[in-house]
This record gives sequence, C-alpha cells and structure tokens, in this order.
Amino acid sequence: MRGLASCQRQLYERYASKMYAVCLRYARAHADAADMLQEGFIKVFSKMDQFQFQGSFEGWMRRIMVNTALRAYQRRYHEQEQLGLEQLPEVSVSPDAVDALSEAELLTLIGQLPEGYKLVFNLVAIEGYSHAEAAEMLGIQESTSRSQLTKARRWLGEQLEQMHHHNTSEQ
Amino acid sequence: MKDRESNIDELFHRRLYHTEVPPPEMVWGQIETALQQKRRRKWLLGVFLCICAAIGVIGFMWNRTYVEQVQAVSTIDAQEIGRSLPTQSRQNPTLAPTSETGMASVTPAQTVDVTAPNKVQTTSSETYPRPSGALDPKGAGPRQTHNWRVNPLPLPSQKKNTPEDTAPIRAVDPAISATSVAQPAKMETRPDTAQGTAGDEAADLDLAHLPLTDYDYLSKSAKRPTAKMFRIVRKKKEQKKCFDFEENSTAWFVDAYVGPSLAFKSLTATPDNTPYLQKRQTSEKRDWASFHLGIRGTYVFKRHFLMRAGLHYDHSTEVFEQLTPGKLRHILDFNPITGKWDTVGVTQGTYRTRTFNRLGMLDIPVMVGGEMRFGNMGLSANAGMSFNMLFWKRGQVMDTNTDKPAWFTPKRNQLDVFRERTGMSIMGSIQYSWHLHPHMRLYLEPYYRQVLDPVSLGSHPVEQRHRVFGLSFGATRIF
Repeated sequence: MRGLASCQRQLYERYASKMYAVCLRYARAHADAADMLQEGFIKVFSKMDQFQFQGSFEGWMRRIMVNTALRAYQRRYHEQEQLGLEQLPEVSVSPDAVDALSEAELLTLIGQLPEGYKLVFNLVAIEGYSHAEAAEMLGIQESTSRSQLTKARRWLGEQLEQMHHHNTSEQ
Repeated sequence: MKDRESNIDELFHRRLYHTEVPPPEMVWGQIETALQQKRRRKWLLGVFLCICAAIGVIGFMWNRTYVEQVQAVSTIDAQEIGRSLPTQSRQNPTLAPTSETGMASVTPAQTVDVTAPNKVQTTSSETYPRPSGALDPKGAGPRQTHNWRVNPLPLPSQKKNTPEDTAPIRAVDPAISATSVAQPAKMETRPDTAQGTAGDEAADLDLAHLPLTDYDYLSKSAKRPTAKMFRIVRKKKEQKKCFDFEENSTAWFVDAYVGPSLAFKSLTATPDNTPYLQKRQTSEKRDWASFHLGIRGTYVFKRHFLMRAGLHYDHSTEVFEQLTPGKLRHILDFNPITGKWDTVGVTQGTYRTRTFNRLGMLDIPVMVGGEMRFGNMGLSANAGMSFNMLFWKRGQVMDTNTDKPAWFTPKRNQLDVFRERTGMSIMGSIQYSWHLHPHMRLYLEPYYRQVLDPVSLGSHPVEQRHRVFGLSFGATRIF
C-alpha cells in the first residue's frame, strides 16, 4: 500500500474525518488541525510498514495523530499562555448539560481550554491514557497531569453549567 | 466529587471519541504534494547513490587495471632480460637486481651514459658489493628476485615519501623519458644518495621512472618486451579454469540467460477517475509472477570494462477477475421438432469472469559495466538503458463506461489501454559469475528495470507504470 497513491487516497478518505476530529481537540484552530492532519497522514503513509497488525489500525493511526499533535504543541510551547485557574470554584455537571450540546460546541468548548489543561484532558479523559502515560508523553510530572485534569474538569464544568442555565432560562 | 469528575470524562469521551469532522478539501492536495516531493527526493537520492557507486567501481577498476599493467611489466622474465642485456651490463654489479628488494640497485652518485648504456661510471669513492642472489644469466639465481622496476609512470602508492625521494629524481625523469630513445642523454643519480649504503633503497637506480619502451637504453641489442616475456604472478590453481584476461585485455562474451522475475505495476488516477481506478484495482492483481530471457553480446576492454547489448524479453501475466452479482443465466436447449432453441431454465447468481492478462516486452538493452575477478569468480556491475522494440499484450480490463470486462488487445479493437511501445527503460544489474572452463562460465544476475514512461495511453483514465525485478541464470561463452 505504501507508495500507491490511490490506496493512500482511499485510506485518507476512510479515516480523515475521524482523525481530523482528534486533531481539532488538540489544536487551537482549524488551520492548526489541518496542519496536524497533514503531518500525521504523511507519517502514517511513510511508516505503514511499521504497523504490526497488533490492535486496530485505527488505534495505531490515532496514536500517530495524537503524537503529532503533541509535537506541534511542544513546538509552540513557549508561545502558549498559562492561565491561573486555581481560584475557580468547584461546579457540578449534569449529563443533560453535555447532551444538550452538539459535538461542534463540545469541541469548541475544549478548544477554549488552556493548552496544558486541554492536552491532559484530551489524553486522559477522552483518549483513555493513564496519568503516567500522559505525563510521559507530555514530559511532565504525574502529579502535574492530575492537577491539570482536575482544573480542566472544573473549568469545563463551570462552562457547561453556565450554558445549560442559559439554555433553560431561554426556554 | 470524584464521581462527578469521572462523569465529565465519561460524557466527553462518549460524545467526542468517535466524532467525525470532515477536514478541509485542500488537505489531501497538500498531503499528495508532500508525498510526491518525498518520493522524488528518495528517487533522486537513489540515483545519486547509484552514480556514486558506479563512479567508485569504475574508479577502482581503472586503478586496478593500471596497477596490473604495472605489475605485469614489472615481472619481466629475468632470463629474457638477461639474454637481452649486454655483457658489460650483466657483469656490472651496479645494474643487477637486488635479491631482497627486487629492484635494480646501482651505486650512488653515478652517471649512466645512455648513449653508451653499458658503461656506468662511478663517481663515488665508495664501492658496493654485488648483492647475493643477483642476476645470473645462466639462471643460477632465484627467478623471483629478478624484478626490474620499469614502471612507465610513478605511482603515488608505490612511491616512498622520504625527503630524498622527491625533487632531485623527479627533475631527472622528464629528461630521461624524453631523450632516452631518440636522443642521447645522461642520467645522473641523486647526489644526495651518494653517501648511501649498499642496501639502501634510496640509493637504487629508480628505473620506475623509465618508460617501458626505453629498454633500448640498456642495450642496442635489447629486445622490446613482449607478452611472452611477462610472467604473470598468479597461482597455478587459479589459472586452470579462467580465461586469461591478463594476456587478453579485450574479449567478446556471448550470454544467454533466462530466469524468473516479478513485475510490478502502479496505477494512478486523478481524483475524478478514482472510482474507475478502484474498480480496476479490485479486479486486477497488482504483482505478477513472470519470466524473462535474452541473449547478449559483451565487449570487454581494458580487461575490466564491459559494453553490453542484446535482446531481452520480459513476460508478465496477471489475473483479471470480475464478479457480477445477480447475473441471469438462460439455459437453452435445441428443439429438433421446431428447429429452434428453447429456454428450458433461468438461473440467477454471481458470474465470474477470469482472464489471464499477458504482457510481453521485447527490448534492446545497452549497458556499460565493470567487472572484478577473484580467481574463478567474477563480479560485475552494469547499468544502462533499454529500448523497447515490441510491446505485446492480450487480456481484459474493466471498461471505462460500462464497467464490464473489455478486451484490450488491439486486435479485438475494443478498448485502447496501452501504448504501442513502452519506450525507454533504465536497467541495472549485478552479475556473479564463475568459470567452468577458460571459455565458458555460468552466472547469476539480479536485475532491476524501470520503464520510464507510463505504458498506458494518455487518453486512458488510469496511468499505469511498470517495473521489473528479476534474477537471471545464464551462461557466457568467451571468445
């Protein structure tokens, strides 16, 4: 398959949408996500022979995309803003608050998270990596990963509650 | 609290893990461009490495050829030389070869009168004893010691980088080589070696700087060296089965070969034609088992260099297979009473079309190469171009409009897919050979061939390119 443009095209068409959604969760904007997707697919095509047929191909590809996104994050590490969210109050989230939102709105919400929180939340909460794995991938302490996740949850919870109250009051 | 937090994780995971968002359309174009650049870079790197390797091999062989020429000259049979040397020269110990160094020794600070080569005037007050094992015209001395250094040109690898071995002797050389035959001249040894000792190599008359044709300076009656005068230093065992390339710097080979090969094709299409391309890919096997055969003539020159040309045929077979679901099949029976065909049954099912597509390419390959030999074995690297004379094809392909199998043989005139000829290809091979007989050898030769242009017509929606990797088993007759 490696080197055959038509097969590559087929593969791209099959997985691009899923992988783009993954990239969107790590990117600041759609343009960044498109860059990540491009870089990720080039890696997938050039490292196709390294796929060991252990586990799903989609999982392997998703991991490449996540690693590509993390590398992109590391490149712009010095530019990122560090928001102090330690003072945010704890909030509770009802499932309705999440269900009421579309995927695009949820992605936008995640995109608004500060970089550090977003990465940890994506890796641990959505992708399912452990804190140890996430800490290793990001080059941070495991305790930092835990605290970042906690802060991300608080921030998201607050945003979701606000949106939920706003929607119910409008109705 | 933990439950609530886990709840957030779960909610987001459930909603976002499998989310699909179509990417912008330009992304694939960018990926395709980047992949093409990567492929081009890889190809260029491969070409560059091949060129470097070819230059390296040719350079090595050129150097080897030169060294062998020098060695052949330097192993002149002592008896021949001895016979051709004048009496005075033989009696003069200063011109006799040494037993240890194999080089002609001469007393330092002496003058050799080229017009009267038999006279060697010693200007040094020191005298040097005749070395043991020196030239004995009657053959009493050991033959292997009678080596005269008569290299036509100085070799960097053979020269010694001693300070004494630089300017003075070089200053003399051009005069010697220019005048030794045509004009009488005097050759002086280095003054700085006049104080040397008998065993000092620096004090030797460095005949390495005398041209081969200048043996006449030793004696007017001296014979020019002929091939018979050369004693090639080789093991007897190696000489048994090998053609003597040392004696014959040029030769003709005639090769006949046959072998299996793998033919690969690549299909590409523009995005508009991708659906058709996918249908073709599902109905055709991409990699085919195939074979090749050919005959070839090779001209060997300078012992190690080859020019090859011949006829080469590559044959490939692929399987075209198409399944047509829901195909109706009418079973007919001839009714002798009515004299007509009656439909006695109808079946519905999957109908399979299977055809072996056959493609043949007859080419004239023109290659150049270099060959190294190690005893009975030989290793050569070859590269060149191949010019297609005939592109023969027969088989089926998916029709561009109806999606039904269609014959592409020009004879049937149904679907024009392939060009009349494939044009030029680049070829490269490495041959490993071994001698059975001085004039016969067998060889194994893996080769690679890339057809440069697409083999499909420009009007066809899918662009098809071919490349072949094969392994030839052949025999060579040497003339």
